[in-house]
Amino acid sequence: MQVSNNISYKPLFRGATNPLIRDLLIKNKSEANKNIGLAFGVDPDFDRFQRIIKGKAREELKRFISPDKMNVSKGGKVVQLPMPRIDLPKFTRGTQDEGGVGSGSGKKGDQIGKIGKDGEPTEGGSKAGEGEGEHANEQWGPEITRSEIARLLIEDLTLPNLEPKGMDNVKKEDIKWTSISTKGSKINIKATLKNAIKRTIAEKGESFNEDDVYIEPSDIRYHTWDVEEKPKANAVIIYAMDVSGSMGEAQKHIARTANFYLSTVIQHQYGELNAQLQDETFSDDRFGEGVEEVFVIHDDGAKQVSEKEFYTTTESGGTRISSAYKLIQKIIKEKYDPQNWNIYIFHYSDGDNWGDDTPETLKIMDELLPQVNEIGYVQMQSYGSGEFKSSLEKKFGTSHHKVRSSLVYKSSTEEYKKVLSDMLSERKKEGN
Amino acid sequence: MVAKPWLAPKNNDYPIVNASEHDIGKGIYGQDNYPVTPKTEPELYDWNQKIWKVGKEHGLDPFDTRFWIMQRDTLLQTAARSGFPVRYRHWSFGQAYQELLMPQKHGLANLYELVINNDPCYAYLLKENPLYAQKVVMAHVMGHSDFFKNNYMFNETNRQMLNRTSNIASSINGILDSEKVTVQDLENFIEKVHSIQWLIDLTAKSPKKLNLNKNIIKEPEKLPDNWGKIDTSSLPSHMDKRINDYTRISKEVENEEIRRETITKKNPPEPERDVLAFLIENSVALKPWQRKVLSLLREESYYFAPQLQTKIMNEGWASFWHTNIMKHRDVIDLENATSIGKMFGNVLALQKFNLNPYALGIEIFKDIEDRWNKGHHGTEWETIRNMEEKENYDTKEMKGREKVFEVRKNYNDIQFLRTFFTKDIANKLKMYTWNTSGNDVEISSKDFEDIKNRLLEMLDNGGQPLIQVVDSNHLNRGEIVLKHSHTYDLKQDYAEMTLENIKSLWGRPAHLDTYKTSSSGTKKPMRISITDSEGTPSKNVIKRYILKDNGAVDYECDAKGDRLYKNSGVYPYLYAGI
Repeated sequence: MQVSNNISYKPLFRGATNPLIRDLLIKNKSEANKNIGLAFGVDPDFDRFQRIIKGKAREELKRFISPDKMNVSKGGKVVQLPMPRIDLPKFTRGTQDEGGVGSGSGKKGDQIGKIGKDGEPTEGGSKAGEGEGEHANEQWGPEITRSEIARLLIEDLTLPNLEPKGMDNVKKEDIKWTSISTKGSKINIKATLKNAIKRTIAEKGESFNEDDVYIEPSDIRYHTWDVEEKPKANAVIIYAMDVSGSMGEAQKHIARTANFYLSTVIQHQYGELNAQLQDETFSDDRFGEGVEEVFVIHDDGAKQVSEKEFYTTTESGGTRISSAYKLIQKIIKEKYDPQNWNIYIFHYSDGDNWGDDTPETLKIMDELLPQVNEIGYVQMQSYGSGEFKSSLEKKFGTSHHKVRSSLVYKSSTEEYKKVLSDMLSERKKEGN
Repeated sequence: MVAKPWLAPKNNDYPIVNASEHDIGKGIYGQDNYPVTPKTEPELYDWNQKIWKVGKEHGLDPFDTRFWIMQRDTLLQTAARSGFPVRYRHWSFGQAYQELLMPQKHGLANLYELVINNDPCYAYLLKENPLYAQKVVMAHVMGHSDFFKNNYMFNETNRQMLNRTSNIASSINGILDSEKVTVQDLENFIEKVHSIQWLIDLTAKSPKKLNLNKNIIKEPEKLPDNWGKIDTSSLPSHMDKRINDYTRISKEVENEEIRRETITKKNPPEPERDVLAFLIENSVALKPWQRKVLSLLREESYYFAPQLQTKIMNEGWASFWHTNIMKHRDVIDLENATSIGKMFGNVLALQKFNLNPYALGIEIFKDIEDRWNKGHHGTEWETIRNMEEKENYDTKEMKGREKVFEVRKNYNDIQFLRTFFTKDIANKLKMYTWNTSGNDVEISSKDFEDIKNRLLEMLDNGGQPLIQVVDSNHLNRGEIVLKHSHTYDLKQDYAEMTLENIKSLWGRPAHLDTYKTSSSGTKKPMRISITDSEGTPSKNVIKRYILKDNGAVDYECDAKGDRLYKNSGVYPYLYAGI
């Protein structure tokens, strides 16, 4: 005991980094070599600490050792780890005054946890995980709103404002509390007092005393509303993704990321557009106003899915792109009258379509064109042959204002900017 | 010797400016770390330059900052030593390492950044972190570096601390060779100092110079001959005799002489916040090596003190800038947006029982910027009654940026919260105060004033109870008396054990005047005394005296639970000073 307590604090081989010697020392775990081994890799203060915890040194510190548990918070969730520690005394706040400031949901008097054996508050296990996910915006955390990203991208890529159509047909009904009525629930104090004073003047003459004014039930007036009609632009964005076997995880990741930015820009622009139409200033909570989203996945058959499924599904099988466009055609016919809706379609695929399917797909797209604002096709470069993009361009040309295509090689900031540019930049109408 | 690219001859990528940089290179014990240079980490180096350019365009003015790549183990060991690769040997750094290591092992926490206040600044990057995380860390570090350089609390800190800690370490470790001191003695002494390491003057920005000749007894200054006399030259001559009456003057002179003598001989003349300095200057029990260790550790305490008092601002400022810089078009990273968002979210996550300084700080800075952009301050705005009008008020003066820079320069945490913490921020962060009720933890209030007061109380004096030396010759027996300025009760058993440490450093009995709040909520003065037990001087006796309502002193028991005296007025003089 004495010997080990009096070890010199100067490591014997300080700075020697020869891995051979180090391995040798660590392998040979005789008592004598243990101390030498400290000089490498292992933190000597940590080793000393462990010797004290295990009672091999400094017995007088035993009374300060507590078999503590440590609270660790992970994204709002608190987990306990066992961790013996030596708790040295200091001047500190007493337990009776225990308390602090925290954050989370709950009202005054709610029990939010228990005091553990160590005197520290813990969640108490019963409602584990409840505190998780207290931050709102999952994509960018609480700090950058999607509108902010959209503004950056629009400015950076000089994207034009979207040109909606058919907005005259759609009105948004809005309530304005502008009228006064004798019935209601929300008292208009100003009008009520006015009536009371008018009545007093009628009763007592012009030189009435302030104390004479009182309110009779007949004086009371209420706020009421008028319905105002405001113009509103509506849009539906239909996202279609190829989830066939040839689309690898990397390709799907690219598709999903590109999709996120496309929808960010469009939703922001519609928010701004609607603010403009209604003569109001834009704020971030108008993001996505008037926009509906439809998600479609396909391999050799297509189906409509939820947003979550769209971002997580892994399918396999062959590729029949026409199935997706047939479904889209059906959805538009049933739900989104082109008279009232601005329709955007974005489709992601590796372009490895079944040979005989491409002509049919192009035919459906041609039929869809008069009804929609845009069809965008993004092709992920893959090991497959990927010919759909060239077929598309053969039919519609490379600068068609409604049918657009883009090719992505890898996941990078530059590539995503290129996709946005290809899909949303200004293009002149041809012919008509 | 392993070849180190950054040390190779004729390589000007990384000129060594500090001798201690070799220590960073070595890591704590033998691992190889390396700096970010165009050769070692070209991509990171490139991003570093870009981020710095963007930050400087925004007006940040950081120290020259040097990034080092570290392995996880070394980074944690360095973090346990507050970012310095070489500190004196003590097991408490090993304990700190364990506390950092365990959550990492379980994948519960990730250390993102470590930066030290030094010129140049040194910051460490975890080798295994992906590039996007390193970028966020670099942007975050830039905020810290700017804060260290410009905030007034740091004006007088030692900017060569990397070298200094290493010198302090060799001085302290060297004691083992030069003096006949065992490892246990040294460790034990350091533990005692650690237990009172924040008993320094936290209102001072740098330590005052020590005066080691203070033990010499001073004589009070002599009164000038005309002291107490009133100038009557402009009055008729017979008035002088009546005004400057001899009996009156001689009595006043006598009183003044007594007053001056007590003040001059009283040590300290005024309550002394810097307890460590007082012990160094006045304790007769300290051996030379102990005085040396105490002085060196006091120096370190003063170096770290500004960080204790600017935690919320410093982290808020760094987070404010990492978000701003990462949004910039030259830096924005679209492919890893989700991961970065998660990272931001983790850093800013709300905590149930604690305050997240990152989240609170960034919210306040953002709020200041917004308010000063729109002119939401000053009497004109405050006197608007209509809530809607008040909210939509906008002078478009766009002074927000200017204002946040001014705030980062001239405030510390407590001033920052007192001035800029608002109800809206408390609501946004869903803040509440909690208290214990039995074993339950309950939300005690969601009221803004309550939250603000609790926060200010928690941050007061750097979060440490204010304890000052008021007398060092109590009862004319050389006993030291400390006074706790009460805003809350001290943890009693800890206070007693800490006071035992002070007694040991002082060499004579020690007393602490504090208060005890009973379960009914009444607050009574209490004195804790540590004295030698009769017969066995090495053993301490703890006594607690509580003043009762009728003026008598209630004597509690000693540490073992023995009731030595029945409650009575045994030591009535004890409370004379309270």
